[in-house]
Amino acid sequence: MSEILIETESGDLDSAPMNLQMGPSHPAMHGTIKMRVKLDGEIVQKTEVEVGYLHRGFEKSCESVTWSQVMPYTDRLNYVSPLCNNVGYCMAVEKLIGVRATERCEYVRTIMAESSRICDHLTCVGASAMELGGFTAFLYAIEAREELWRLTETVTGARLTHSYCRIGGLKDDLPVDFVPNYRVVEKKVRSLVADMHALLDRNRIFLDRMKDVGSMTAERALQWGFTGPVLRSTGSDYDVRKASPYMLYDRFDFEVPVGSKGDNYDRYLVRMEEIEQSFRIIDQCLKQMKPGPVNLEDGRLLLPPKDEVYGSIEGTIAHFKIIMDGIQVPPGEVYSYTEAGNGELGFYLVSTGEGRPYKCRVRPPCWSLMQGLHELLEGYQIADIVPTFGSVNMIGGECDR
Amino acid sequence: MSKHVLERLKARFTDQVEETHSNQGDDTAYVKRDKLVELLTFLRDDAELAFNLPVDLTVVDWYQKREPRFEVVYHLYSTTKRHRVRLKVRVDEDDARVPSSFAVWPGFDWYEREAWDLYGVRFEGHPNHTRIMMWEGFEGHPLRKDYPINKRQPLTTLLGEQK
Amino acid sequence: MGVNCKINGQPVTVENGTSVLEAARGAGFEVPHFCWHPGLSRPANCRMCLVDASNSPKPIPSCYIGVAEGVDYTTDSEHVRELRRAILEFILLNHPIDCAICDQAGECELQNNYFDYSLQSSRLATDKNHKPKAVALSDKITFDGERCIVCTRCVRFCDEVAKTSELGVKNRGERSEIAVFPGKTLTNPYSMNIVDLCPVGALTSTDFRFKCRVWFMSTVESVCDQCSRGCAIYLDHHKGEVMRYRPRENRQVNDWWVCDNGRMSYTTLHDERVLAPVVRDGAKPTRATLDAALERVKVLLAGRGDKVAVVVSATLDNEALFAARRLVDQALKGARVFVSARADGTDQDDILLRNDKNPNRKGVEVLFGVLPDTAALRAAVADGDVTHVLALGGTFSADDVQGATVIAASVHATDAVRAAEVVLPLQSHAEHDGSFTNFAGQVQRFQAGIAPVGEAVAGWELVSRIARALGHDLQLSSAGGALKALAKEQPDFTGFTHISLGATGRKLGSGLVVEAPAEPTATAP
Repeated sequence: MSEILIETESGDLDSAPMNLQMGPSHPAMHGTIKMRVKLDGEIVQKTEVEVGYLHRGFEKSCESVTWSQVMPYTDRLNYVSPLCNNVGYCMAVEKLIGVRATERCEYVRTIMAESSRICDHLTCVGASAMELGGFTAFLYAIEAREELWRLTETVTGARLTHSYCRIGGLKDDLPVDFVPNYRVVEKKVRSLVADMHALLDRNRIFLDRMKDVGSMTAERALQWGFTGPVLRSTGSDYDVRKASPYMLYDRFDFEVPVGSKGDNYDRYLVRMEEIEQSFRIIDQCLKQMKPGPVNLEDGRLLLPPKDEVYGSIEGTIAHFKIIMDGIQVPPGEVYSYTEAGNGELGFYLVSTGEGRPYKCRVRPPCWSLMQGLHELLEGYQIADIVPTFGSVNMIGGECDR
Repeated sequence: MSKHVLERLKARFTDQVEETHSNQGDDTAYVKRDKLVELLTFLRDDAELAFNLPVDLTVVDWYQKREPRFEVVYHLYSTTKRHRVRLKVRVDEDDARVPSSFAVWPGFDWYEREAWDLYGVRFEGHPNHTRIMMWEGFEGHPLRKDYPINKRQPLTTLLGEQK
Repeated sequence: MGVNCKINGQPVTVENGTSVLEAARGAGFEVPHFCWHPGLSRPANCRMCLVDASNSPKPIPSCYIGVAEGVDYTTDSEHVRELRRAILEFILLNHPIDCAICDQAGECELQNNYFDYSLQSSRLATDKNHKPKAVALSDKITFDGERCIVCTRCVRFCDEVAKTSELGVKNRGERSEIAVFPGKTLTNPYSMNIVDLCPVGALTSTDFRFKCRVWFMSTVESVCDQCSRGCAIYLDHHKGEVMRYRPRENRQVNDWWVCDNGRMSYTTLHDERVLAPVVRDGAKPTRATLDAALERVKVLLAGRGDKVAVVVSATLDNEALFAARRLVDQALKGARVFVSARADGTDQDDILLRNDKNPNRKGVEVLFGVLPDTAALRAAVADGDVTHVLALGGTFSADDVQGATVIAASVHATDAVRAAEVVLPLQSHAEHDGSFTNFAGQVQRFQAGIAPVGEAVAGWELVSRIARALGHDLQLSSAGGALKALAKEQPDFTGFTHISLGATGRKLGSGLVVEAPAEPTATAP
């Protein structure tokens, strides 16, 4: 279908290219993206992608709060997989301080981050399907996501803006009934994902809309700085969890799905398979985890128990210093990176030895994806913008910060 | 982590590399601005280094703490060799410009625009050297340390109103 | 004759008489302390500075004991750490849980030392001691007996620095309390320094009490402009308002102290400010835009040669004075230059106070030489030699300019300023970067703390705008740029920039040998 060329020679039709502005308020522009599209009939000749409509000054805000107070800001970066951001940020600060969280903490962080990743992929795939008209798949994806969010709420206290991780540990350990709850959720989500597979994998309309649309070669994708499922759909197997295993990823047996064509369909398959792999990882975490502390025994990083805070001057002082001054991070800089839902999420932190970040830079994976997006759109039809843009999974909070 | 990256870089561009360190395991090289494009091209094309993934480009503003004021920070990665490097180019406030790296990797396109928009560092040779986050009419460079966080900006002019 | 020893294994050589604590600090090892202060006598009563010494079976109070030849001192062994935990435990036993309401929170040495050196949980199982709280030691100082750790810094300050000995410790043991001696009042001109000295919240400034939490405030380094001493201060501000001044350590100017007047002078920053340019339309003063006011200035000053008097105030910063000099050289050729100043005081002592109440008279001398004062100006105006006066800085009186047409650029709207033909708003030194030269030739830079009040403009910028109205470009683009330009033309200022002046400033002429920069620079030297 995308092979049709529209002839522009016609005596009575105006054949000048049309400039169309899509967005920023547009149902298909996933939040707030503006695209200036130059159309030749239905073919997109040129497109200019404009971002920045959700810029909220994340970096500037971080510079005026303590290291611990940055946590809620990180939730609001990639807000469909907030735990990945929490974990990424905490790891970066811990790297700069020079500590490593306890083993149990890393297992719990992995479980929560992978469950966040599943939510991210479910949202992306579901939304993609909905925008093509497959509302049922979207409903299944959202129901699956709801299950996961309900589970996450029992762990972190919030469905979306968790702020679950702390520098040096977590807010709390997993609740005692987590494992049986998780098994119920896992079964439900897996069955919904299987239903989605059944609805979409060999769906004629889905295939026609997604296959061979929005292709890119691996080499070109790397030049643009693509990472994550979009890069892996082109054939490159770069996944931070395998290339530079962090936390405990070197203990887990999992695969990295890699596509070949780099088209929308490959991206769909990569994401769906990553959901499965995430389940595998969570399973292994639950089997390998041992009881133990989730927080480091370090009074300079973690708050004292509340009864000590209210009942003794020592507890008051410790609580006070950590909250007001902020954790004392030694001067220096660090770049710490994890595999988030969209690719390599990097935190470049600069500290001057105070309780506040001097600079807290987020390397957003979708920033690179969006700058190269025009190459995925040009030459295709205007209707292809919807699935292609959807499959890139641009999240405004992360892209614009 | 992979010291040979820094060694190789220093061997080839001895005059441009000012100092190096690997604090916290991050290989870092401070390089001079001249021959920057040549240096980046070498990092990309050299068979041993093969930096094919532009990861991040940002600026650190050392307002009133250090001179020169700005540090342009590049992060690069090689998917084939699996090593990383950080490059830092220091520029003065009065001469805040570096050559654009767009010709080496298009992947720093928007990063350079963002650095211009938020810090005011020019990237000479960039094909579309315009603001990216902020709107036309925005005055100043908001991530600079001397830009107050609560500064108000005119949003837009009303129809018929003089700017 | 140096004394050689080892501190934590590192060989250290110091002057004979240096305490172990100061030797350790000099070598880069911080030793926690409460009662010791570099500006006061060695007390050794808190015992927090105890360190191990190879020539003593017991630990030694390092603030008190001088370094002995050949001894190994250890400031960081497990034993020393245990000692510190024990001492902090004792100090905290009766310490009230006041952090939530104590002004010192955020700048409290007890909090800092506990967090950095202890973090041990409390073992107290009984009630704490109670003592009088919120006692007014004077109208400026509030005392809290429970928070006091009886380090006696305040007592020693009044004895040794202020030399008025108003304070003492009454009762003894666990009932010790700081008190003013009967028959005396705590009224020495430096009394509020004990608020800074007090390591805990026992002595707090009544003026600052409950005004603003420490962590809300941002701090800039500034210089007091109330006399020619130019004490180095910290300017603490929050939400655009100056909350307080605190003294900053500068061994070359004010050690660690500032006088009470200077400390409280932040309250005068907003007194009767000139908020906007004012132009007299006949007898009626009307508010004008700066451009309109400058147009009028041009009409009043252009082409009048030596009938114009430029009066520079000894309260202007070096950058404004340099701009004024360029203005006279380039745009107001032939104009006569005078200096105006605040009136002298009579309270000079050999601690900090000076009779000369102007921060930059020396700056005027360096840039203009010895200038005729306002008495000479009065005579010149009376004789008709001067008909138009451009007063930069409002330290002149109406009598000085009686009969002349006056353009006044001023921070405060004095009567004389209000009577001028054109009034231009000047920023106070808290609103822009700049530098002052104190009476001893120490050039110190100050940093802008708050946004300009009203439409006030910095001195160097206002003078540049005046020059531009007169058709001349003074080539000054910033305060930093003005100082750099000044440094190029004035040998005494060679090498001075706002960064190179640093926190303590530099002595005039010290820059004539330029030191190599500490950090490598990207540009060629």
